[in-house]
Amino acid sequence: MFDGLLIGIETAFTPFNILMVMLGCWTGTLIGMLPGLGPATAVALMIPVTYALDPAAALILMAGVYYGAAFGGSTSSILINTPGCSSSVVTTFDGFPMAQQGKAGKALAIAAWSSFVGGIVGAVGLLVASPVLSELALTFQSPDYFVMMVMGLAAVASLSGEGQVLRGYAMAIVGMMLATVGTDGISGLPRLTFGFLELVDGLSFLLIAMATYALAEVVLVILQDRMNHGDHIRSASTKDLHLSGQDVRDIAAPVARHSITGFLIGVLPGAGATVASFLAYSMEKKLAGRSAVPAFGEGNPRGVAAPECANNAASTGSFVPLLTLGIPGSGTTAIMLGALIAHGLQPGPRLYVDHPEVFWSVIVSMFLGNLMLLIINLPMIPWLARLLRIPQPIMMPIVLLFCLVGVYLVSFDSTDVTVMVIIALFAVGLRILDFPLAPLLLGFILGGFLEDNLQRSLILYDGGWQFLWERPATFVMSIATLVFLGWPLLGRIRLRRQ
Amino acid sequence: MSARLPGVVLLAIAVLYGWQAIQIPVFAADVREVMTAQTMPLVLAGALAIIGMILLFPGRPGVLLTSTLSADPRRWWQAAGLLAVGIGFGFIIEPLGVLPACVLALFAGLLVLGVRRPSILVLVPLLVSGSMWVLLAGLLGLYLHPGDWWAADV
Repeated sequence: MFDGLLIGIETAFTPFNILMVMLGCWTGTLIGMLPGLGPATAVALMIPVTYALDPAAALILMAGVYYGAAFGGSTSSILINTPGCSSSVVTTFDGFPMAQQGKAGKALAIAAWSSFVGGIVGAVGLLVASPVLSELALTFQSPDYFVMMVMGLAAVASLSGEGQVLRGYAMAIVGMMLATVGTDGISGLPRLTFGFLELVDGLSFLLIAMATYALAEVVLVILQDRMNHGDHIRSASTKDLHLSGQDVRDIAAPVARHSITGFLIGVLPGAGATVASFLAYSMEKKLAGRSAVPAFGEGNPRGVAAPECANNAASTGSFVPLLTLGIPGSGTTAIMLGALIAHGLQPGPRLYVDHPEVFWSVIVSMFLGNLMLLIINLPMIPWLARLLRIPQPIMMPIVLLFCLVGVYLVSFDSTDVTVMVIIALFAVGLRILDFPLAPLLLGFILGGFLEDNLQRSLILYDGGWQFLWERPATFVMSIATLVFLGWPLLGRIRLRRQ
Repeated sequence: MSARLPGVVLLAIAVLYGWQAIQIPVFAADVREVMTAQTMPLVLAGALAIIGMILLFPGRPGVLLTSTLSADPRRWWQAAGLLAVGIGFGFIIEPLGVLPACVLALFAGLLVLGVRRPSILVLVPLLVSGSMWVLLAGLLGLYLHPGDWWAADV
């Protein structure tokens, strides 16, 4: 591990990669601040830029954008009561009341310090857990991978949210359907291409990611009338960014608790930063009871600290399944997985062996990135927050332009631009019908691997399905998959009986 | 909007996709194999059809976003206009080149969203497109298509 760590330090601490961390943090913060545009959109928008970089720098940049966007999301939650992303929704509960009481600076500082601690604890967890899990995953065979991918998809779908489980499964299937377009790995013949030569290589991952996350979000911001015109946003006082000893004592315990719970939730596929932040807030509120002063929801600093450290620790934790198993746990890490595949790398246990510089440098860069967010981004918040004053009728066409150019730059084929617009329309329709889109992206990315591994497993076992239970690891994962698949359905049956 | 609509949509996708899956050619030698090119698509179509049918009879209907959608027809025209700008960008990028296409697309996008101040309509497209050009072509060394029209003149 120490050799790997040294390789990581050597790679991450080159001036260029330090610049990438800084650029990632800034860009992520700026995009994350814009209401409606979360980490997934921010990472998707950066993919075209990463094509000019080596894989290590690309992943470092995307990781920086990821936690930078989470940081930016909390800023808009506190300053304008509009969360930049779903994981910072909870921050509005106490962050905005603090800003209304003239304590915006303190709220921002609490959010930043809590995020920093959460991020560092998460990075330590990643540092310790990833090599162990990678070593274990090196013994995996095709049946293990097949079951693991089904488990990942089931977990993401079953944790899609109340009333959305079946819709989550449906979207995972639709994503896998999109993945079947292109040359079939079994026969080598084009499949579901409708005679279009452009579809022989399959649908571009970036096209799907941009269409479902970035472009669809732009359209929904307009259709839901969520466009601010910059005129109702007043400057909050951000001068007082210092925390007193009492403030630190107040938030120390929640931060310590939820950095760990956040990391553990982040490691689970599908749970992610949003679940972690909601759980942290509700747990802290219960622990504080009615005696909390000020009450939760009226500007309690612990109501800002708990979700902020939990969501950052969870964001970092979600890199564990991505780097070690090649299974993304959320929409954002799914986009990163796709980008890495486009770079010719297959995240998973072989990454640890074949590309240690990528594996370790990303982990090391997280320490650096979290430190940068604290010492560079936090003092700049009063200036960065001015971005919120740019009216969205100006911002949205710029985001649209990034999507269009990004997709064109991947293939240099203008047809892709039209296909992206059509898929975005389809995605908007699905969103209006309350279908979650993260499982769709995950299904699209994992669909091809899942089919390949199923085929290999069936060949290995002469067409039998005993591979699901013969090896202990596969058996355990099969049981876990059944639990993920069955639990929400049981809940549905119970609901009908009631 | 009917609570059954999501189920209907899924069923329609499953039927259309399943129909296409049946058309996938399978080599005669592969017919007896455990998995052919048709297997996974047919399984997926079947699974989606089952979920679609379950959603036709919702125990508790999901919260459709229709209630949060703007009733103002102007917003719908703006969204449609922005998507039309996207498609238009696809048509002009190769003849005009990346930089002019970006300037025009951004100009059109701003107009569609109701921006009317001439200074913004001119400066924002020029500044954003120019910065993008500098970042992508200048700093990152990515190839940006210069435009067939101008290349033909040379």
